[in-house]
Amino acid sequence: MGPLLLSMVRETVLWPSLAALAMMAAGALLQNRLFNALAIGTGFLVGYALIYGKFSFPPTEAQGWLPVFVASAFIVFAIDDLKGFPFGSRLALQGLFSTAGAMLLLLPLLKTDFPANLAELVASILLWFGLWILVDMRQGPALFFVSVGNAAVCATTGSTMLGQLGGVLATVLGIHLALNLKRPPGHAGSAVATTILASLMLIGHAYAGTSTLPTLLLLAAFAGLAFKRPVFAWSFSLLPVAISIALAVKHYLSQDGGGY
Amino acid sequence: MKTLKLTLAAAIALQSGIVLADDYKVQSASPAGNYKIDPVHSVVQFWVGHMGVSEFPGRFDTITGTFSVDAAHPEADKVSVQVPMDSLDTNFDKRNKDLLGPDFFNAKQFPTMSFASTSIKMKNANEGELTGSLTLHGVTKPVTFSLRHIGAGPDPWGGYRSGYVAKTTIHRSDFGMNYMLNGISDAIVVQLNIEGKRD
Repeated sequence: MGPLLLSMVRETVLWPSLAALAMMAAGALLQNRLFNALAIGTGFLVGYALIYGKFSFPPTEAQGWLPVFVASAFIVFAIDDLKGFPFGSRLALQGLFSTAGAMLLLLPLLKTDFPANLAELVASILLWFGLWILVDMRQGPALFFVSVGNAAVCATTGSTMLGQLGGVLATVLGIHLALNLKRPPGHAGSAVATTILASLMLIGHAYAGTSTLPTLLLLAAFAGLAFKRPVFAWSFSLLPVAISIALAVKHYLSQDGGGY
Repeated sequence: MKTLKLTLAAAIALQSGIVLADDYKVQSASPAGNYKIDPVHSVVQFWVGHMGVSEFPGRFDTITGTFSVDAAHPEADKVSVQVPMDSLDTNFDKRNKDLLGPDFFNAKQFPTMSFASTSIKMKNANEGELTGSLTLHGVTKPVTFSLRHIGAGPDPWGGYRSGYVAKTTIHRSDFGMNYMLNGISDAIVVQLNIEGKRD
């Protein structure tokens, strides 16, 4: 393995995994479920810092909002986990976060040409919100599978950096899934994971031009959450993701070369 | 004898070709005046280190802008250049897309690169330094180019032209482009070749 690839593996897998595992170990010692959400958030932010390497407020680029989104989603929905918000309030907050998130990420494009980007904004809000409700209400492997697919689709059809960030999310969600198969991540965990995934997918589509069909197939994988029997839940999540990755890889291989 | 004649004719033809080539002379008339940049004869080129083994070139094909030269008041000389990022060409479509995406230029968010001079100091008639503000990737930083005036004079269509080459090295991390600094060099050589048509 060359030094460049080794460095990418360290940034994408090794250090985020160690950060997530440390948080999970702390959670197990303290018997506090919130550490699941902290593990996902901290693991992702460690990878984010190593890969993107910039923090500024207000952010100058769409991906600069990710730490703000992760922190705010964690804080608000950790309170939900501790206090237990009424269902309607939780929905309203999820709607508010989805709307604000999509608007902030698309703001540079909306400033340039509002009418042309209005449809993308509305679709993004609805998809973000819908995805969040599903993930929050139904536990299953779909979120992990889609995050793996998103990493592959971004890296092969859009942006290597977004692919790496997607890889970080897939890594921490994979660890969470492996260690907490029977225990849900809580509202805070769902909030953090959904916020990161929706943001990466939106940034990829809006700014890096990730292919549309593989992205839609990834969204279709959430249909797996509708099934309670694991065999169906896993199959209906895995199949669209596998097709999506195959299409993205085929597109990548059809070009004369790769990389910069 | 016939062979000797042919050889002589070829030699004369070759010689006349060389004479024609020698006819190319840099024009040395005064560059004073206000100019509009001719995009067809102007380009921004750059060279970036790739994985520590090569220096790869790219270019931006579209440039608009103006420059003005006042021989009596050199402190009033100005250069203003705008470059749409989507005019990037690195001879490979996928690389163009990658460079224009969030990994580097993020062209959807920052569609234009621009330069506005703050001072031009000529050391002699043809060489000097061009200092100004370069805005790239949404970040504005002072940059100094070494400046070379190539020539100035009339063109065959009744116009008047003047041209410069400006060269510098920037660091992309100064402009917030930090991704993969271990594989793609931080230092980037930038060269502007500009030809202007006098108003």
